[in-house]
Amino acid sequence: MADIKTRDFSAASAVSILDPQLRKALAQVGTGFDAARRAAIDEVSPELWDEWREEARQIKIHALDHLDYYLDLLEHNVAKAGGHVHFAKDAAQANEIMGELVRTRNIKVATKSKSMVSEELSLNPALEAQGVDVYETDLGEYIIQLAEETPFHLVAPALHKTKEQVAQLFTDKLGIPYTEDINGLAAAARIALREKFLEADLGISGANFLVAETGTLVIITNEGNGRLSTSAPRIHVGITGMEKVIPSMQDLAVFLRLLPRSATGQGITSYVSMVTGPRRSDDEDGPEEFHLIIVDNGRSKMLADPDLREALYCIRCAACLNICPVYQKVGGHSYGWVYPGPIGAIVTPSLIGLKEARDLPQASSLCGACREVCPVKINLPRMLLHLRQKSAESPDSSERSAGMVPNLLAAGYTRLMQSPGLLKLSHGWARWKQNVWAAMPLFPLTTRNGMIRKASLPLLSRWTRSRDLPELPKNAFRDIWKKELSKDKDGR
Amino acid sequence: MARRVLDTFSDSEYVVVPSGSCSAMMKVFYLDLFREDPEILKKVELFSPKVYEFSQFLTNVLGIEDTCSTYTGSVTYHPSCHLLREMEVRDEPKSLLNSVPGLEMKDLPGAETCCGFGGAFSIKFPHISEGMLADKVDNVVTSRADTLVSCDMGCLMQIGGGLSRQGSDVKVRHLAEVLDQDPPSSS
Repeated sequence: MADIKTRDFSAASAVSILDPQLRKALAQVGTGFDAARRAAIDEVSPELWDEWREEARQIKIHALDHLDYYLDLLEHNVAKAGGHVHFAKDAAQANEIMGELVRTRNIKVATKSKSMVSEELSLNPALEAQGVDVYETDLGEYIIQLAEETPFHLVAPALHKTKEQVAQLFTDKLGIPYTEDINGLAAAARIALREKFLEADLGISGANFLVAETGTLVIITNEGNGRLSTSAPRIHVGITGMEKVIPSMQDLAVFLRLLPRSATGQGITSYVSMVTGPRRSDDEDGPEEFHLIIVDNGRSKMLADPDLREALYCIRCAACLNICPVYQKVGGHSYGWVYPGPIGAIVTPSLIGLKEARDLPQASSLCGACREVCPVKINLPRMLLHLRQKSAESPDSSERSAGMVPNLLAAGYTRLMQSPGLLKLSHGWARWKQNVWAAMPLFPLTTRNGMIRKASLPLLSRWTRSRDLPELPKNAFRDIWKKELSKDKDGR
Repeated sequence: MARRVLDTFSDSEYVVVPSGSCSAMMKVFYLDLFREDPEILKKVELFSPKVYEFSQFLTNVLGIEDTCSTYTGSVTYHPSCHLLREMEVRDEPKSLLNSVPGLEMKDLPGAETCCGFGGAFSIKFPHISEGMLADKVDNVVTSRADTLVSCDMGCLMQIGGGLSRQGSDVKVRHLAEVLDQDPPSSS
């Protein structure tokens, strides 16, 4: 499995937030991707867009409600077309299946088009350990492969890299003379990868969709790498999560309308590649073998949980990342695993457990912007809330994100709020204490013009480190109500 | 706490709340909170339709278009996230503000982006909250309004706290304060 660094979220995010380079890169997702998405929606009309979203959601609900049936149908049709389907329960099994194929087919070189599931499995290191040279062919993935990093964004894995950083990387790793010309850099990658495409024995791809009706693997790309990886080598292996299956080609249509627009604002990507089995006897070229590895790795657990099932509808467009004000501040690496952003905050604890990833569902203001932009209307904020509930109520203390003190405070607050008498007393005490402290120069309260500028007190200090706080007013609302407002016009 | 609220307001005809997030909690989230408790869920189903956010109640139930208030100044309006996305109150606060003579409305850039309060989030993840706040404060200043109005005290505390820390002169008001007659002494 991919390295898990989810426990570092707080620390990692505190660092990435201050990085001016990351800030610049992240500012782009709003002005770039999200703006393009909105323009694309306006072009089709928001009403039609919403119809498509609803249709897509219904298809996903149906497909996942009958997942066993559709996986069966998919397998049947892939086999009919001459391909092989393998079901992998977890990362270990998936890598084993891959390893077996590599051994028995004598694979030396593999080209890969984007697969997030393969990152879950840490597939590349597993293949390299078997002596296979693996080359990422999606330019963004290629860049992070050279840099030995994990993806920063679902759709644009190298979003965080400046052209200067890429230029230096290419000079160091590819030996080309230093150039910041983007076309020049892309051309250098193309040249380096072109020979690999032709050398490769094995092409590995992910899948955006699996069409059960025809046994078809569908990938959408803006670079030709997807097409080359899946047609040039003698063996093509598709690796994907089991939730990607949809019933029919007709169903595929609405997803092809939603995904490119949601991801980059494009009406359609440059390439839509549909692979049904290996080459036929009358095909001029194409792989001799087609294998589809369908991975569970915790997805069946999510399917069984009514609170988490919806997360399986995700089509990985990254619209939720692009709109999320938290993602825009902390960036993809802080999330510590394969999937960042709002969907990552749900999928990660669901797949690797709350013990590792208990911070992720907490790191949200639950603003709901993600749900607004999701093409399949996933209720992300509700699921974050459910994960928080699971975490708070867990009998396993390592799954709880709050320690003893916050829990005591919460219990105290609950007790207080249920008693008007206690509340009145505590307000009185707090007001008195505030006056006492404010009168003491500087410590523990510094006030000015009715605002507390600094509170050297637990919890409050976290607020006042960057914001002022209004002082408690002299008169509580309950007193104003009793004295003035509760009397109606007849003075009763 | 929710159970206590349900009992306290069980006989009320309307429950009007001057807060987008509190009203959302009561109107929308209580249904989720008690989803596994059929006894209490019955009470929630009777309670939820009675809950209104303040501007929603004024506009949609009382049909008030003009509160006969006056306000001299320019106002920019920040729609709080739960008001917008859970209560689906979008236009009501703006139309009420527009009805006040003397009040000039200014657009808030990035209005629908969260201010970063999020309740406990603001102190659980203060660095992220601060980052979001900085953007919101910049946008308020860019709007050139002399007053920021919102329907949620949480947002007002967050944005107001940020503005104050910057030494900004921008006034921070709850919608109700602006719709009331000019108070004799505003602090």
